[in-house]
Amino acid sequence: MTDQLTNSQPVPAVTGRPSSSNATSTFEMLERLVDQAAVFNAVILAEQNPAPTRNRFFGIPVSQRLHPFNAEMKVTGSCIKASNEIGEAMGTITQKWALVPDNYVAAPRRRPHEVPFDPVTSQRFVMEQVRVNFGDGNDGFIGFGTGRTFPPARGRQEKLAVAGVGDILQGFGKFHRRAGNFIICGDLIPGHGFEGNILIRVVDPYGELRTKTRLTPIQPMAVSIPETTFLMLRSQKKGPGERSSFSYAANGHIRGINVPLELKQLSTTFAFSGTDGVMSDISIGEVMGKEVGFTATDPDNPGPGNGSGEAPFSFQGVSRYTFFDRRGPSVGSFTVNFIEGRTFLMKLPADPTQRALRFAFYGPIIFGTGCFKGVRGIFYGASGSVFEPPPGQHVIIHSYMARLDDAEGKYRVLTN
Amino acid sequence: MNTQSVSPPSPSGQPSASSLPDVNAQIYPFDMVLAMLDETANFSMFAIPVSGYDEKASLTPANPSDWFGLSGGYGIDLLSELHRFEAIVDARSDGVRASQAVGQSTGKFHCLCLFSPADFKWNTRQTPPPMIFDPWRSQRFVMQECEATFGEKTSCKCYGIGRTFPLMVNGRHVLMAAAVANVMSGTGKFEGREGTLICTGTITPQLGFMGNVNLRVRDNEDNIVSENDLPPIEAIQNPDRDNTFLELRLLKKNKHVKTVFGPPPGGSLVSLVTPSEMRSVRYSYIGGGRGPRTHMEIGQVLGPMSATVFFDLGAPPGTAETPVPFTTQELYTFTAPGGDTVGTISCGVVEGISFGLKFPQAPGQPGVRFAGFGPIQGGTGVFAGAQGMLTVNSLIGISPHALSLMHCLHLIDPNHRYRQGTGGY
Repeated sequence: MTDQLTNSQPVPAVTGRPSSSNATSTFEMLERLVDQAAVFNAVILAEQNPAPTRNRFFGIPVSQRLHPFNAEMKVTGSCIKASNEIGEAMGTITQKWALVPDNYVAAPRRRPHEVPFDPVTSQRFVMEQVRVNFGDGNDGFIGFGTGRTFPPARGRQEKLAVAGVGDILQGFGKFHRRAGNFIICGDLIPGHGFEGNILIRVVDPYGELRTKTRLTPIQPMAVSIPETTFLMLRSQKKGPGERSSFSYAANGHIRGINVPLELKQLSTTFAFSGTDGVMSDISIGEVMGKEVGFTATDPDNPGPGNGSGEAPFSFQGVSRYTFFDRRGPSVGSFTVNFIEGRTFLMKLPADPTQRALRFAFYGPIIFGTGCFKGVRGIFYGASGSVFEPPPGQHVIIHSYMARLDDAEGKYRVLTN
Repeated sequence: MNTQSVSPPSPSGQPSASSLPDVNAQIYPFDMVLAMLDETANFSMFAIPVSGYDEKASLTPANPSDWFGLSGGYGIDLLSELHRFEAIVDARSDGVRASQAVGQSTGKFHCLCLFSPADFKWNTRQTPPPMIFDPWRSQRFVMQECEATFGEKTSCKCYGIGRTFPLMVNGRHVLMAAAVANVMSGTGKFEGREGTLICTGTITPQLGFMGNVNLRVRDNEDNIVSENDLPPIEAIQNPDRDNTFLELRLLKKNKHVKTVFGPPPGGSLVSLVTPSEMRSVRYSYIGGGRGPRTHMEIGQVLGPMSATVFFDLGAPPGTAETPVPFTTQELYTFTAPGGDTVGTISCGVVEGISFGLKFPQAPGQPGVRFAGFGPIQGGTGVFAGAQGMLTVNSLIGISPHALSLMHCLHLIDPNHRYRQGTGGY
């Protein structure tokens, strides 16, 4: 754990070129190291009697309960569907958000310059304080992040979609000295606060947060989130032969990186497991599609920031997700524009020579085809990677979620 | 926008009153200059996205494994059918309405729109730095590989700039887009022609462009413009129920109407206050095997329009590689036949480009070809609460300041306040 990078530790200098890889680290070994992470996927349900208006969520701390959540996807018939299983509360989240101007440079412990709520404009906000407590509050973390609102309000309840990306600043209990990221995505509901999902990915090189045995599956409560379906999936390289490549502009400069990946089923839960305390359980299923993506970044010139918790690198990108049925044909695809992504440098304790990264991001689904034609929603994820410039090794593992507007339950598998 | 030699600006950088040219002087007679300006083929068209093209669209068709080319990411690959279009405006005491008809398909409009930083300048030789498409933000884009085709033989290739404008309409998120482009090359009847293209419409959920495209091509050989009526439009079912377009022809009421310089806005910019008269108009065109033909039929007077144009008087005449930018502030006052004001629209060009214009028949007569777009800022009377876009596609003379203006007021109109009939055809 001593090599684990947290925001309180020195950050490796950005030297442009990544350090040369350890010759003993094969693709498979690196992938195993990158995959040493726990995922805590939780739902935050709307409160029954909190603030009276939507904008009252901003500027005041709001506490809500955390429920374990699973949104495993399956190809069923001519489309995909996901279970949306919400378990009994196993923690709390306390958040204070502030609306800020578009050009505001956010940083932890910096008091934001607040602006008024505007229901018809997509506004930027700072998640000034995010405190997640698991169980009785001995385990958890304090985080910081930034996000956006996505008008218009939808449905009878006038839900306003929001998404934000965050970094774990300080862990406590089992999260002490842990690095990780989280993404919040859901809706602000007038009179009821935030309702949605928090996806937390915590780097776990010593396997203290991720169980090796199966936890008891989520026992769904008799509630769900109306008009919304969440999808959960994972993507990673098919193998070392599935290479990333540079994209070059007409002037020969690197424009960004092309990354092909394979999409797989993903199922998660978390629970308290005897003396181990809170543990995450992740299981990976069948291949269900492919991802092709482009990220506009030049590794030699990553832009402002230094990859630390105080000043992460920013990135944007576009990806297309195509899903197949068991016989092979595509059932549909959607394209996502990642409008806010944050990258943090880190070290892999087992191979500190590697340029390892953890990052998180979100963005709107821009358009869909096949069974996703007309779909609306937000796609987001948290990831780890080791990157060597093409044609070198590029190990990458994404845990993804999508929040789809789904008033008719088109993408939902009904569960008891 | 300047096309003539003028006195240098004063030492302060501000043009002094005495240094300003007399734009109303007549190097050639006003009526002759107006007739030369009208030697222009006007194409009023309606773009309807080609069904299913979103699944094939790519910004990098020659390199499909470069996923920078995913349409909808850093740009949009648009392909629309171009249809004949008429939007004839009628102003009465009870309102202003357009008789709007989308007609037969006459060609295609293809364009790669690449999003760019807000400060990216017009550059026909350079691709902008990657900028992700964000439908909730007003973003600038460049139009590359932009081509309008009419049948197999006639086409024009353009380069241009545009912007998206997110709007909230009746609780729905609507993404408007407008763009202005210069004809860079042509084939068939468009070979060797100067021209300007302007469009305003919406980006559809399947990433297509639906809306009005107006193209003006210089035709001083008179082989596109027809003096005779063309076959009538064959209206199809209305593809766009949410938008109404007011097509306008503007010109000076007569040769005695003067243009004056307004208060200087600062720097080397000047302002030119230009009064004109709005008229309804039917722009007709046909494709056809022998190339396109156009015809213009002028209708009723709709009221006055006053435009203040801001531009750099000291800039050399705009060229295809270096057009001269301009902006405007405009007030459209619609009047009933008795003269009473029915409503007004305030708007202005926020992205305008201009090019020097010469007349082979009148050496030494300066002129300007210019086009631009900008959002509607507000309205009064029947236009209270109006949202939408202005496009201008213009040719003017300088000394005399004769005008031949093709404007379009694109109104978001889901309730058909500004459309005659039920909106269906």
